[in-house]
Amino acid sequence: MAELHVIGQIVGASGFPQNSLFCKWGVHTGGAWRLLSGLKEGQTQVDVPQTGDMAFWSHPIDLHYATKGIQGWPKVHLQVWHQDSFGRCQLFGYGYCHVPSSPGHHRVRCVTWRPLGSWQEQLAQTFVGGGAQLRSPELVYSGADRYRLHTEAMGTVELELGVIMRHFDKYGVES
Amino acid sequence: MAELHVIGQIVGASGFPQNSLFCKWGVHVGRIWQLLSGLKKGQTQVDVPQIGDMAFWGHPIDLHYATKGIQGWPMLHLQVWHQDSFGRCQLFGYGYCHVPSSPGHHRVRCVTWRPLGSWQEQLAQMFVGGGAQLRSPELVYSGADRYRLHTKAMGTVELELGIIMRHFDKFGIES
Repeated sequence: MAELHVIGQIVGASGFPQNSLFCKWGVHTGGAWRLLSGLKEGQTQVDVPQTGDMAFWSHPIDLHYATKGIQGWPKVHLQVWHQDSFGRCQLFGYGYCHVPSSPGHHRVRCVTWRPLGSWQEQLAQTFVGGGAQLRSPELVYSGADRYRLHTEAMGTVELELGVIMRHFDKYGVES
Repeated sequence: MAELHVIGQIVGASGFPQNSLFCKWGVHVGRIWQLLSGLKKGQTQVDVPQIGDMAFWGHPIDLHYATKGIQGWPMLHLQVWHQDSFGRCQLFGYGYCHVPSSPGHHRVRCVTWRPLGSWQEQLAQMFVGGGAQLRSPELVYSGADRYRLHTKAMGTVELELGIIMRHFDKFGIES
């Protein structure tokens, strides 16, 4: 069985219209992958940018997978949320990125988008907050039936991921 | 049989004259390549840029090919379309790029162009929209008989592709 280690952190996010952001993240893999150790989903703290506009989370990711095949390579999917002073949470963006497929240290920038409603919903969103959310969040990393979505581009999330691959060459994988 | 995994995403597009863009994409291979898993064509959501001019799609690409030869290496072809507020779609560019031929993580920038009509057609296009389209979209990646085309350069599409190659060294491929 080949093994994959993903060790890194979700550094932070920038380019969002408001401060006070947190991130719910998870890692999705195919059926042939088995998680040996580590948490495959979590939620960061709420961070307020001070200098510049980048919120720093520095949330650790430490995963150890065993696999029999390459199909279903791990994908990190994220939801960036905004929490206001009253404690209400509002979705600011969905995003995903594949775990890099070569060993080494990688800085990954994950772009995010959020669904756009009708102009009435956008007007209400300016005053009251809230907004449309996806009914099934798997759409973020599945890619099927996306053509009916209208979205607006939001900020980017930065991740630092170190990838260690073990026994992949015994299966003929070159690196 | 050698195997090729393409795991990545169509990140987004920038440099186009209008917002509200979506992308129809497909992967074309030679006859000896066989698709084992994954969708080889699709359509992204419609995205409106907010900060800056880059539309974020984040559309996943997860393909697994088996092949007996290198001829017909996978090519990714794209069509960027603009959808206005009335729901009408207008072609904004054709583009293509080869899937990178070395294992690892690659950032690919794919340039796009669109056909240019006569000056009367361009004037009508400014008021009404529309514009010339290719009769056979295979021209984008085939390269035959292109000398009769007049085109206008449009924006660029950014992709992040991770390539995993398996058993290619048994066939004598160096990396």
